[in-house]
Amino acid sequence: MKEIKLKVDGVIMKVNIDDNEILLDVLRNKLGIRSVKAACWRGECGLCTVLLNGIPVKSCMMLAIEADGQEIITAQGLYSDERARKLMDSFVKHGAMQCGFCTPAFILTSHYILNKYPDADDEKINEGLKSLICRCGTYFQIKEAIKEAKKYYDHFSKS
Amino acid sequence: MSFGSAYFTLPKFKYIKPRSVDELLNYLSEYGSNAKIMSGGVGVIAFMKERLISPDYIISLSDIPELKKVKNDGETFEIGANVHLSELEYELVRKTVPTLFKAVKNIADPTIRNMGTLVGDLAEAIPWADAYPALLSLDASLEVMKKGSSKKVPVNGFVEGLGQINLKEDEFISKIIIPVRKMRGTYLKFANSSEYGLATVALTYLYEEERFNLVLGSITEKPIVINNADVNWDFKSDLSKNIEKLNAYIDSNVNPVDDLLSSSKFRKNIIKYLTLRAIKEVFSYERN
Repeated sequence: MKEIKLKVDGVIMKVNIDDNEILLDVLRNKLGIRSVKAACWRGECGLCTVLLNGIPVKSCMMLAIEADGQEIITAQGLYSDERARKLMDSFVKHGAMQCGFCTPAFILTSHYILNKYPDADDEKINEGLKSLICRCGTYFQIKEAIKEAKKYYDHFSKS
Repeated sequence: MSFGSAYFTLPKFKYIKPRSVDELLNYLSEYGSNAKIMSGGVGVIAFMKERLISPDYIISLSDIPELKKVKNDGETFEIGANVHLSELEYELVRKTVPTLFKAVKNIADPTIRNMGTLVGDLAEAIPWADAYPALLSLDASLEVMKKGSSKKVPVNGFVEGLGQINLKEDEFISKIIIPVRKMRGTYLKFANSSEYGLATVALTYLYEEERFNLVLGSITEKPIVINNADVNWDFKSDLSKNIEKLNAYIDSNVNPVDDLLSSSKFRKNIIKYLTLRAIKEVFSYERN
């Protein structure tokens, strides 16, 4: 057992882990963050996406020990960001979910896309969402929600 | 931990994180035979989950700053072993090595590209990987290091078969070196989003030297390299006549595998279509 330090959603946490533990397991079962979903366990569906130092990674394909000393943001932690709250409101307004299982991952990834490309066009959004699967098929509504939330991410607009 | 089944957990191993290349080489010479090198981890973890490999030691490259460099000095373009694929998706790469840029765009999906590396994709040595055909068409070479020595080997012949690479236990690839020349190139892949490719075509045309490398990937265990000398390509004559020659060459020399994903005949049709598209994309640019 080794002790690692993680900054999860702004809180520094210490956790004891084995070398062969997967980050997703540690987040869900040891730290109790259930917004990180576990579905395919092989890096295909993308529902276990977290932001590691601001960049989306699939936590099921990563060793927990590799994340030692780094910052992790999950959908829960995004709530302190005003722009992300507007994005979530936009998701609700457009009904961009059915069962809601994939929603945390979609929120995180679209937050990253809009943060990186505040003027994202359809092509950028499609390319960025390629890593995620929504089995209810609400892709159209998700794209509409992202397009509406775009204006809050534009650094130069005064809205 | 969860469910206890092979699919969700990893076998037991010891995790080692060297801080410099020298330290890494020491570990390799000590544990080489039962150690695996990991940088992004996407491939190694997937293989370990499926219990295809179960090494005693995992050596991580993530803390070695030397391996995180991309260098472009006008003569060569060098990519370190721990450079993530998404770090290669910028304009300079598209201008200097267009074939590689387009190949990288085709690897997996954007989130996986934030984790995986180009060397990792090459060293996985699966027939539908995208790095190997692209690097073959670019005449790339690899810097292979072991304790006390380092050598430069051409990428051609590096992959020997499914999961078989030409690398000894105490060696590792520190970087990929691509010669920078005036070139145009493209990379086309026939696949469903991030699924396995059924057929891929990498084409690099060096217009100053008047030669090209066409690599057909994913259709056989190892990619097939065709260059202009093989098909008696005449750069001065009409494009359609040359395409006829190329098609005849593919018809008689290329035999794609028959497997669960698709039949040999279908693969052959697709590869001919992709080749045509690649040739038109690269050569018609010149005329405008």
